[in-house]
Amino acid sequence: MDRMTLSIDGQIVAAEKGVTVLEAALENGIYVPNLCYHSDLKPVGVCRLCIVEIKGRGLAPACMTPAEEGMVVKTETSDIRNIRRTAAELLILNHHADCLSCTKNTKCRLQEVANYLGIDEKRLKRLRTPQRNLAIDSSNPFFDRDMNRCILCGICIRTCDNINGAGAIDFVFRGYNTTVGTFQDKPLLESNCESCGECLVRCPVGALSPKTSQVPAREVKTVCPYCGCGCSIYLGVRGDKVVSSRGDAEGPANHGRLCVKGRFGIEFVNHAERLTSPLIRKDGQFVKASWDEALNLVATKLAGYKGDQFAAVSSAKCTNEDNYVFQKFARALMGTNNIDHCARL
Amino acid sequence: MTTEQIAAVLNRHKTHRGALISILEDIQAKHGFLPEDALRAVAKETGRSLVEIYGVATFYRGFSLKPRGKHIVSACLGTACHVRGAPSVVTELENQLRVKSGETTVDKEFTLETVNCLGACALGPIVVIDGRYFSNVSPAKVKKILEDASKGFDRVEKGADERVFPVVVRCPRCNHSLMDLKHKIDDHPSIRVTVSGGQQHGWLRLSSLYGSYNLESEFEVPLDAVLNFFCPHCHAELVGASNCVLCEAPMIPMIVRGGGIVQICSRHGCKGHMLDINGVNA
Amino acid sequence: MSFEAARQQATKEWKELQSGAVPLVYIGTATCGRSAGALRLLDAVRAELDKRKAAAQIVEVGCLGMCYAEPLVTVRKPNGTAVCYGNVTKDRAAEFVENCIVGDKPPADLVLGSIGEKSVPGVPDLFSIPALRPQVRRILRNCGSIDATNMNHYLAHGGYTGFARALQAGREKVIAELRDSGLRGRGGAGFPTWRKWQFCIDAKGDRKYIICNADEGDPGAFMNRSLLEGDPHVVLEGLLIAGFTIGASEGYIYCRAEYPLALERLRTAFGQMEKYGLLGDNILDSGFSFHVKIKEGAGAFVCGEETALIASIEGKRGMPRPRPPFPAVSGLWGKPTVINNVETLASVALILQNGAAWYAQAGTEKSRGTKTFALAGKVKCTGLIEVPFGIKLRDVVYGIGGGILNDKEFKAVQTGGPSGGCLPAAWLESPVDYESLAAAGSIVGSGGMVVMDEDNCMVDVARYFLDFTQKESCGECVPCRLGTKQMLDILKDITAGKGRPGDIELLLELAEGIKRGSLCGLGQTAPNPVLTTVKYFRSEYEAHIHEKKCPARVCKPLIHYRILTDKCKGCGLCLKNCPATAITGENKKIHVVDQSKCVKCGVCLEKCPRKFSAVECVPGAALQ
Repeated sequence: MDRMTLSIDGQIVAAEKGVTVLEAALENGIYVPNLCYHSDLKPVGVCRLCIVEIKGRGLAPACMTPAEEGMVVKTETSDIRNIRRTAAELLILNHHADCLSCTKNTKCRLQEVANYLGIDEKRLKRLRTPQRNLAIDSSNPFFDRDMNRCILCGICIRTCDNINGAGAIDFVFRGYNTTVGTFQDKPLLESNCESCGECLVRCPVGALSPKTSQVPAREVKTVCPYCGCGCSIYLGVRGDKVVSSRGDAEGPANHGRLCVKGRFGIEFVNHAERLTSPLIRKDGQFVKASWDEALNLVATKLAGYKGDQFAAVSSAKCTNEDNYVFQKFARALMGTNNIDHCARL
Repeated sequence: MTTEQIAAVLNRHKTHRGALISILEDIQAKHGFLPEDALRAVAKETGRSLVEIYGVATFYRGFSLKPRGKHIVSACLGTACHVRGAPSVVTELENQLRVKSGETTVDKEFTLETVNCLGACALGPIVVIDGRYFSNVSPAKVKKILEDASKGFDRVEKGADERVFPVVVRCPRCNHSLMDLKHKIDDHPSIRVTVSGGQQHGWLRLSSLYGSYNLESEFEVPLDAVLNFFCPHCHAELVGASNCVLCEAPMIPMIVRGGGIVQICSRHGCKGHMLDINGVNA
Repeated sequence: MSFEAARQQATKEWKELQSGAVPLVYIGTATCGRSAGALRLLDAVRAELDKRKAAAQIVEVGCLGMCYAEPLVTVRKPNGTAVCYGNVTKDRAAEFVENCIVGDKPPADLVLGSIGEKSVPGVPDLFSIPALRPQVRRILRNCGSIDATNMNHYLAHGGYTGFARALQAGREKVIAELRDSGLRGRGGAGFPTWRKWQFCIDAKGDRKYIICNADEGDPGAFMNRSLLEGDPHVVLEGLLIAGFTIGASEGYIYCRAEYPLALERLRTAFGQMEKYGLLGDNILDSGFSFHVKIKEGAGAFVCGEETALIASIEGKRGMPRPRPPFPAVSGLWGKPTVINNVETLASVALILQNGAAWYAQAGTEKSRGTKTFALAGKVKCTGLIEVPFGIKLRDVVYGIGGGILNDKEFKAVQTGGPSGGCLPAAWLESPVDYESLAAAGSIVGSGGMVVMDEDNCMVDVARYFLDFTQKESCGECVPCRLGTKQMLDILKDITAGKGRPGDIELLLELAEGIKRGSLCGLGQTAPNPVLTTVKYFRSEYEAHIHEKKCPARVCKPLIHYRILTDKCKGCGLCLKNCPATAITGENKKIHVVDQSKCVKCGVCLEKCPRKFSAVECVPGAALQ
């Protein structure tokens, strides 16, 4: 692949052709404050934090500027510091900073920016604090939307449009009243939101936060059991309980993405009514049985049927190998092609 | 707004990319605001998401998502009007109407709006009510202006609550008046045009009362026949770009005195018409 | 009919109109005229003529620019010199028709001046009166003297010869002509027009677009409206030349919906152009095809910004995007696009009609040509003016403007609308051009010029502009969305008497961050009104913050009204009119304002007879 070199803060760094200045810097371990940038999405250059100075051109948002061979970039000047400080102070002022109770605490990108820039409480006090208290939309069963914490980076909107394609949310109104809204400002549940949660995982702050959230003690890499897509996931485990699920960015089928089932449908694992052993009906009542007992019973009953008397329906939740064996069993042993499969759920 | 009307609006803009704003403007012109069902129909037809349309509708000041009053009062808050005392005029309007700017009175008579600049800066403060401009407005003049507006400028009471008013129109091509002062219909000067339909050609006189469908013609026009309209002075065909939202026949535009365009459907018997006086629609 | 034949026909028609056997009466019925009652006057004049069985040819024309004297009527008697009359209100229609149209005894107070070479005894030449003498009317030359709905009038005045010349000369020659003329964009930024076009010509694209920006959103500016209402064809000729030169077959006119008459004039003009074969396919057999669409703005100031305007035409929220790429490379639907202001395009038509050398005669070295301004606010003669660049501000305010209304003290002139600044008396001697106004901290902008006097509070003016930009910010980028709101909140506090020490420095700091950090021109210039008012009128800010006084007596929480005991005659007028029943006092006895009830509406001051002048408005809140 074509590489190029450019100078960032006096360091000569190499980058792939086609990347932006911001990406070139981040790849080379040079932090440039940013909030509205996300590697999965087209940049928009609206948070104005990644503004850098490019020799011969002046100030430009690094996320929107294609890196060029021989470019000379400065990420810190007094001018840039002033712009960033103004933007960051205003954002913090307009953000409900209830950090300790926020699910994004310590992972919040606004905190990251604030730490980097160093925010002075005294300076904030000179500014006028807006008195705004917007209602939290908790209509969605899996996550809440708290617009008091929103920084209007638009990542959720771009995600909904370009990654999911649902188009449930967009910027509505304008100026200071601009907000991320739904059609007619209805609760999210009444919009065409599919609850995939892709916006939730990309939200740089705590504006979108899961209803239940536990930090796992360890993670297990596995495949989502729901459908035939075979999305790679990491299940978070605490003790012997599954507490979280996240997409595996390396997963060839999903590149980190998940749908509502894979992301939020993990509760069944710990559910009290979940079947964990076979049941056999005896005298009208289901009675716990061992696997051998159950399989013997099935084998005995199946022995009485052959050919078109028999049909096989298998599950998408099984692995390919399981399904292969199952169809082999139907064709070779039972002598039928009546085979189907629930690829959907 | 009926489904057919929305469909007609959408149809008119079908071939044009990026027509969303024009579509919304047309719907608002017809309806006074943007009803939810209309927005749903627009989304379906344009393939855009509902919320994107909502985002556009809430971005521009010109759109209203709520029904507006019978009379639209726009107070200019441009710089020139501001330095000449527009804020106190707005305060007085708010006090008189007992609404805040942007709101509609409880009786749905008035909607008070402020606008950034109407471009008549040298004569400020400017207030526009139902398309009529008032210059050098002071708080003391507000009450009288509102009273006059409430009665209706140039309006003639006809019947119990049917309010109509006469229009004075000109040819959009040659600018010549189309009014026939001598030949009256509904006790008002009539509008004279030349029409042709089939093999026939002759004059047609229309009532100048907006809302009256009375007319007289030189030859008998069969119901539902679509006529061609001509200016009796310059003989240019009176033809506009738009079609009737009710029946799809071409609309005939005429310039209204006072600024604006009235459009009538060219189909005999169709009641499709549109009046756009200085952007305020009736 | 060939173009030449059409031109000859039009010229003949115009000559016939001028040499008719009946008086020719021009009535200005543009929006400003209408606001002053021109249509009611028109009716009245017709009725009065009918009554007298007198014949006259009435022509509705655009605006001569002297808004202060609206309604304006010009009368040309057969074989006589035209005389322009001002303030011809409906009430004086009978008198006017009798003495100015039918008879020949014009009332002195209506006469403004004569138009033409032959002078009329006792009547000054119109273009030598103070309000017009310093002006150089090029772009506005037809406004107020031709019927904007009759294309023949435009053709008779050299119309479309510039376009015909462009067709013949070819695009390189057009670009060279524009370069030599020194024309810079009239929308505000002053970028050389030829260079913008050249970028678009050089850009690759199977389709190109030209957009005329008529989204004149600056409050206090109405140049584009007047021009489109008074002479739409000059703009459309410029649009045709631009389309031809950059290779666009499609053009858009993005016009504010708040300008219904301008939109109507444009639509009428399109029909006429089609009739003459100046619009559509294969124009004048040149092989050049061009179509125009009108897009009505739905009410968003930010759509005057090029990229936001494009988003709006594409049917989206009018949100600007970072540049580069510039629209000339990737604009409407991703295609190379040129966006020019109304006045720029009109200038292009004039340059092609008259040549670059003619154009460059007016103006300064770096700012060539003329510029129209909307002169409004507290001057005696408000209106639409056109002056050569380089004219002194004083000559505009005191010369053309006739000085301050009621002979009050000049305080500031605001140029460039919400993106510009307020300049104090010290700058009156400075020339009006791009560089000088920028040096003063303001901009030429699109051409709004609002004059303020001693009764205007500069902190209140700054608050007004921030209130405007804050509401009009698209809300996309952080510095503009939150910064303008923050500045507004501080200014609101200051004007409400809640200013804190250090607020001025805070405003300046925020202003710098917003100017440098914002994404588009709206945010980058939004702090200018604050920066200039702090720079030139800092003492007013200090009086508000430290002394809790509004020296100009505008900010209500920082003033109070009182009745002077030595002057009050107890007439009771103030008491009767007070809406808050805050005034007490018996007949013939001294009245008193109850400060706790007073809403500071000022009605008492207004109502107190001038001979008593017993009510006073005092800076600072009342001592309770």
